[in-house]
Amino acid sequence: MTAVPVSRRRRRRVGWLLTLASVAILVVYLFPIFWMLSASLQPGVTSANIEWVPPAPSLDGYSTVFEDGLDALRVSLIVAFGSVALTLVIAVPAAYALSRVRSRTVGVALVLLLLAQMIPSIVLANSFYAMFNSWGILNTYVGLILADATAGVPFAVIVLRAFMLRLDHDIVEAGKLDGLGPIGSLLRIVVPLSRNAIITAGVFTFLFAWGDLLFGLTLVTQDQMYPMTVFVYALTSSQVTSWAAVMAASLVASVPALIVVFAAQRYIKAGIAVGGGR
Amino acid sequence: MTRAVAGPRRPEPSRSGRRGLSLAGRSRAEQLAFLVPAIVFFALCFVFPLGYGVYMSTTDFTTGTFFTGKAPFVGLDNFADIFASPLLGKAVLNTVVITVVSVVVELVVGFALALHFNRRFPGSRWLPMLLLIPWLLPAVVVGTIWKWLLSGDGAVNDILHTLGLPTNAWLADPTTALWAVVAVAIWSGLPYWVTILGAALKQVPDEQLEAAQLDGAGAWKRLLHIVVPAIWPVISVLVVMSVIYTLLIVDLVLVLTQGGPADNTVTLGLLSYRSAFQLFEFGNAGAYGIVLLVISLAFAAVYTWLSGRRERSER
Repeated sequence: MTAVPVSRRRRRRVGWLLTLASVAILVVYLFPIFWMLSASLQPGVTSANIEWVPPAPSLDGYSTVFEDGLDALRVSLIVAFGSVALTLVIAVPAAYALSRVRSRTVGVALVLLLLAQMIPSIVLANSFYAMFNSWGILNTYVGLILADATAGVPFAVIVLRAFMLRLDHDIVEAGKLDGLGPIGSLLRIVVPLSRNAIITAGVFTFLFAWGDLLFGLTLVTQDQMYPMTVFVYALTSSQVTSWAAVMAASLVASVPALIVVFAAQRYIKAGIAVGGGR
Repeated sequence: MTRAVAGPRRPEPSRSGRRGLSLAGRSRAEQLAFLVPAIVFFALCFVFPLGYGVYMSTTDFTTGTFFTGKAPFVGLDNFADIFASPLLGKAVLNTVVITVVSVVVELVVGFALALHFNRRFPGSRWLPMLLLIPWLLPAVVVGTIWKWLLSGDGAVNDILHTLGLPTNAWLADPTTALWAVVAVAIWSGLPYWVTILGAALKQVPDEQLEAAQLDGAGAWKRLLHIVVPAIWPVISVLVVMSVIYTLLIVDLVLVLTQGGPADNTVTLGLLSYRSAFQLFEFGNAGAYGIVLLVISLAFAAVYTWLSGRRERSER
């Protein structure tokens, strides 16, 4: 966007300066993450005598998370993938139906979905605690999956419907003529065609569920059902644990989210723009 | 909102099918069936809990209720209770400050960073991706790292000390705690803004920018008159979503300060959590929740009204 045409050489030099500036921005911005990694490798230090770069890196800090935190890791994985599955099973057919119907009720349904997204999780958590208590599903996977899916379902329906509006309906009709039933044509035709949108909705639901602290903290009262986020929270709040153990647990609690997003990166590029503020 | 172009619409078959349901009727039944799981889920996980929340806010719902099943109806006493408490005003003010300051800073700084990363240079494709990492971290991890970095003998103070700037126990000092929370909220939210605004900037047509440049429009003029209007829909959606999300903030505050020191960082969401799960006064928790709900719905209504008005005026 420079006004005066410049020689290629000069433009290249400007390019490298921009790279340098970007790297500088990233180094400052990502410093806390480097700090987490560095501190996790320095067992037995306090904030007073910690070094920026570990003089003698040790994995001892990770023993806490890999001895006491395995249950939490399992709970988080089951709950996060369970929420993704539940969300998609509910949202894919609903989004498809809403993309086909042309009537005023669709507008009402969309407004309700937007409102549902705005309901504070803490309001839901208060009620869920009492409801789940009487249904006997506190401290269960089912309870946590249901609660976490409340963040995923409205979002997924909105994103998937917006995408499915653009599908060519004649292809689906052709499948019906070939003898596919409603569920068959949904699974064999609509789902493959909507792959990117479905992956986007799934990844975001995974992030909501994986990062959730509030439901884990309120709907679980037994240690062995704590998700990873609550495990980290409990470590932080206790006075005895070493910072290396807390940082190691934090790192382990972050890695799955990073893996999922970067693995799905090329599918969600288009979808991320509609991803909402979460 | 743009309306997607649908494929060529087929003439609807008439409803005079003789064998039971007509084609149109059958596809309507299918669509209804596809909506059933979603309707059940909404009834179970949104409508019922919301109604239950309203019910709890009008009763004296405590730990004992779980054993006796009795929650005496108290009318609006819970609301009178929380409105009488000085905490409510503080929480509303804090919630508004956190929301407004972080959204404004995220918009301005996020836009500047998006413009920076939108230029072409070696690494301009993958360097911005690394920036997304802080947004991907669970809130509890963000809170844990910063709680340590911002502590009295933490790394932030080390750096400030080296630079000759004043140091402080940022989260423990009542005058700075709220600003420390705001700063951490910005740190974790900003990468999302940069990513989304960056994606929007790529859609701005180059021809328009070049034409404006030939007409002698400077960089600022092009920014204000072409770039900003072009990405305005994205900006407005981001602002609304961030405001609503930030209004609800609980987890970050819980990890960083638990509302302290001296209740200086309480938010509405935190008060609701505290009433229910630390004081076991579910009635008051419900009342705080309803206040929070009314504020976010009021905001949503204003937004819907504004965007409706804009659409009408554009027609």
